[in-house]
Amino acid sequence: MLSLFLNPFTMIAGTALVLSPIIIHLINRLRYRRVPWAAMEFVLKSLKKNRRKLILKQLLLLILRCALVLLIGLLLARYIGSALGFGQPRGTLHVVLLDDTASMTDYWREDGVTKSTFGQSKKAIVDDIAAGAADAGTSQAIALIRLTNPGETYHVDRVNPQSIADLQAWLDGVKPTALHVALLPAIDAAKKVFESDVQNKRVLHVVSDFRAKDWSGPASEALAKAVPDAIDGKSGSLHLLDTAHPPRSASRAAALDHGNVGILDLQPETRIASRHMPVEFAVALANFTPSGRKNVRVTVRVNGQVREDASLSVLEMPPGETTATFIATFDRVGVNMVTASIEPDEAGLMVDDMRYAAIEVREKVPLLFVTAADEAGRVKQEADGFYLRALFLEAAKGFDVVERGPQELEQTTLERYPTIFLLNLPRLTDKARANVESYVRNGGGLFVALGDQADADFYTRWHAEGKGAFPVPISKATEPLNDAQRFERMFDPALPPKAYPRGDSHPVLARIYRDDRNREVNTYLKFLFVDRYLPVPRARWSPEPGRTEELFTLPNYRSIDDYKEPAQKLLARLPLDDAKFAKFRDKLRDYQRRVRETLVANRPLYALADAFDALLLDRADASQPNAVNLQEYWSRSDQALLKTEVQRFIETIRYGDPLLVAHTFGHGRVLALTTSAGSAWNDWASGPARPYWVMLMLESQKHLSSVGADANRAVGSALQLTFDPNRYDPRLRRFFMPEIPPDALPGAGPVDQGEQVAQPSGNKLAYVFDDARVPGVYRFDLMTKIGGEAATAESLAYAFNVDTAAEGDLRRASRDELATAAPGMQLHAPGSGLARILKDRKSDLSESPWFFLTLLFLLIAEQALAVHLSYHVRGDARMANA
Amino acid sequence: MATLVINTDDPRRFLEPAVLARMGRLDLRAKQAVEGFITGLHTSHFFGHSVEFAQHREYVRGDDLRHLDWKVWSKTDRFYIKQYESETNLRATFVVDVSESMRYGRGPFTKYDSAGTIAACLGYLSLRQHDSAGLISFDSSVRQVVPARAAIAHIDALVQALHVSRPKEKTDLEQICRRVAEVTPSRGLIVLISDFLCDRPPLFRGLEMLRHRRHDILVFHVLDNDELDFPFAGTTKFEGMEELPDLMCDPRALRDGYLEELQSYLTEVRRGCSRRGIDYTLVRTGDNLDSVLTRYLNFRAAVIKNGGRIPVGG
Repeated sequence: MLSLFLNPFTMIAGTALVLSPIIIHLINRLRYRRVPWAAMEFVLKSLKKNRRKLILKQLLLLILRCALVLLIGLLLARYIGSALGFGQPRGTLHVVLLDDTASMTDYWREDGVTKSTFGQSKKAIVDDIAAGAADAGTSQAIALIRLTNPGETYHVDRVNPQSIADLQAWLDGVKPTALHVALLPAIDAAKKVFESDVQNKRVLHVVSDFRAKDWSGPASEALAKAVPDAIDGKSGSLHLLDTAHPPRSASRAAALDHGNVGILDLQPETRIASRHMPVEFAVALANFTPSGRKNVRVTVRVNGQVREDASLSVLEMPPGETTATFIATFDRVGVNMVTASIEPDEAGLMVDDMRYAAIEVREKVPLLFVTAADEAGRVKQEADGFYLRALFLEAAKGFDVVERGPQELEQTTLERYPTIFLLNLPRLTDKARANVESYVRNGGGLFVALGDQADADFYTRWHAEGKGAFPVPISKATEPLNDAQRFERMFDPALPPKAYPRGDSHPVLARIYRDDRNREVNTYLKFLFVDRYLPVPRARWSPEPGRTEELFTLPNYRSIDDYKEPAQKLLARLPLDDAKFAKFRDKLRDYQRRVRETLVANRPLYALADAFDALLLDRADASQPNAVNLQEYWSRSDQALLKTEVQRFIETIRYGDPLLVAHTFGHGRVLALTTSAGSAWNDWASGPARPYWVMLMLESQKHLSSVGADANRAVGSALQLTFDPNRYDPRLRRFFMPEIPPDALPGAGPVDQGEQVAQPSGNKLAYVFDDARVPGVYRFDLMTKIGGEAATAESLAYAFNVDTAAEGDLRRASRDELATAAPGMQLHAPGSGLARILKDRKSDLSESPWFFLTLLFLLIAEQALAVHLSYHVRGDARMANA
Repeated sequence: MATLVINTDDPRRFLEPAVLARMGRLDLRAKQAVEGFITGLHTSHFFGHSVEFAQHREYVRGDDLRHLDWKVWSKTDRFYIKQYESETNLRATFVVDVSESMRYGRGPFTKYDSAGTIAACLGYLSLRQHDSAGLISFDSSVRQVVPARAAIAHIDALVQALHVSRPKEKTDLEQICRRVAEVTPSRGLIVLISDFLCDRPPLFRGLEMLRHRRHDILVFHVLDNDELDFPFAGTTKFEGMEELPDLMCDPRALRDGYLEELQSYLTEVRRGCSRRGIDYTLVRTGDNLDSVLTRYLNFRAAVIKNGGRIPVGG
């Protein structure tokens, strides 16, 4: 009850004073004056006439006076209840959302002292929010929620000096994390806290650096809905406390920030390498500042030791992303930790200046070849694995090829192979298929080459309309070419490519072409001969962009007769008679004639495609500046549709069936070759195009065995390990491998984080690790079961890094963007008056104009009634009575 | 008005020199001819009878031109009036209410003080004009009767009678009027001074009876300021005088009703007097007493000039 008043004891006195008019009345009754009176006749008559009216008026006056005393009592006691329609909840519940993500570690030096955004945030919570609430007078409670742990709330039930000291002590122990989390779960948690205490007024504080990444763009829409919902619309209030440095200027909408440079990614080309094998690492640097950086030194360490040979300097680093590569070799078998770091700036984030990668080094990298052929057949030259085995065992060192039959796929030991090659397998058993899918989903690499044994129906089912691991549906194999066709293709004097590389940006092709800008290596493809393959019914294939990519496509070998009619229709649409295009008329007519000649000559389709290509790509002769340029014609907007249709037609007539398709499935990758891996259906591995094949296979193996999506595991994300209970013990040990400083004591090594136990999940064991909050490499030692005894057998290592892409960009949201994302917000800087606002936050009756209007009305009514009921001498009254 | 210091033990307190000095310049005239054995300035049935010359007085407006001394005028060219000893045979009887209700008063005068002053002043004036003046005081009954005499020394008897008569008990005016009629058998001037806080029918019956005896009646209605204004505030217990009940109330709330009732009462009394040819004057205890009397005497002069008709509302 007393909490309804800011000055409760005044209200107690006020309540007593309400009775004062009655008491005064009673006292007056006791202290009456005696007057001997002769003219009683008139008094008695007046009394008789006015008795009822008099009593009512006197009663009304008494009530008015009591009400006045009550209202003045409420005013002085500062009533903050909801009665009389002045609706204000009684106390206030402050929910403070403390941003403790990685970006809050932003540091700077000020007056010789290193400060951080997070430190400022903790200070602001105590100095601005808690101190302001403590002075408010009404019951004030604080619930503090960290963004990275919204399930845990620190409660201050009543804000007073003692509880503020406790809060300070608690905050001293709170450190910023390296995590990136969204704001919405914390807002939901705040909403739940508010809903558990419906009595109090809702005040939501967000203490953060308010980066544009989190508060503008797509994120702002969800915030704009969630934030008002949490504080129950306009009844609550929202304070954004921006603790980032430099402080926001009140006059400028945008805020300055510490330009930050960090490492976005560090990725080895393979996750399993052999000893002394050169492994290429790609390190992606992000420059989040508007200006370029120069000479950024990237220091590479392997197991804590600086590798000067691998370390590099990036000479130019424009704003945005810059990728550099280095090569490292490893002489230690087992899990090796590689770190790349850059020099920290004077201000910015330090946590993203270092990035971790884990690579498993073995004596030999095991590759599993699964073929249907028996052991004797595998060594034959025609065998599907013959050239691959030769490549990995003889040409490229460091690999160990394990050849097994299809039954090997039913084992659950596939994880030890970085790459599995399925060579001309007719089909897989259900168990094998499930095993292979699980293997790929968990990050394995799968190369599928088809052949005469392949069952098209099985592979189509495995494709499962894009849901399976196999990337394409396929039809029955093409028939072998006859001699004439074979001769025509092999000895075509025009030497058209026999396979077209597509998607140069794909890592496999990108690495092949990285140092070959003129695509000279494509010359080999002119000498490729593909006799048979399994065609892909394109009508039933809808590759998902970004997940399935066609790397090589065979030429379209259909008859030109099939395309004559659409070609003629396209040519007829050229505006030869239109006066607007008179200047292009001659040139267009010339190209039209050439295409028609190609059509009439019954040339192969590639010739038709080339003729149309020439029409599209015509360029003026550089020596004749005044010559007509068809680029100008095609760039006209009214010809855009025709241009698109011509391009589509060229693709149709040039490209036939897919030859090599890349696909991602879960964390793993799949490559599907629609012809044979050996020389049975083509001469890629054995013919003149062999150099290309060698590059393609090596790059394919690197791509398949690379870490892929695993490399970008961010701290805080969950890792699920599944393994075979028949082979592994459910107990495993977890180690954390921090960066070992050069001056570390001998013996400093991985930190043993204890024994972990995997839980049965179906017919497998599953271990979920979601506690990686510190960047570094986490190693899991699995115990194999040998004769019932557990023995250390295999180690799995995963690097967890800061999500630099999400946390490294320190650019701050503008005031307008914040107002959009958080409607009704009040933006504050530390010490800029939030405490005063919270102190004055309490609304009592004195803030309501209605209260004063009511009071004024009562006063006027009381005075009017009192005057009406009392005696006042007028100047002329005596004379009138005389 | 200057504050008067009243010595309550001095019976001559009713003769205020300032008041009487002003009144001396005016004559008290009877409206009607009064039977008497002395002729004077007043209109008399026994016109032509004269007594011994007393003095000359300068003419003032309103004097009867018959009494101008034309010889003096011829010698001095100034108008003088001849005055005689025992000029009039006016018998004035002052009937003064000394009941308990007359004791009320919060100012320098109670109603009783005012009534006594009025009676003494008029008595003195009458005696100086050689009229005979008597006094009857009453409350529930006639308390004291001072027969009318014309000697100037008679004023002491009048004043003494006023002083002795301590107000008490209840007024009964019908009975009083009957008694007055009995003790003043010959026609004369009856000056009735009271607050008239009594039942009106008996009052009017009494006055009617006196008029019936052809008395010329002057009524001085004396009321206190408080009674006319009812200025009380705060809880007040009114203790009824003259056997009326007590009442505790907030007088502010009753004031309007009180004044309304009072006005209707005053109107009733004034009309009752007017209807019976009786001069009526309301006197406030707080008012300047000589100005009230002067106004009355001027009014009387106007009445005489008007041929004996009392102006309506007079």
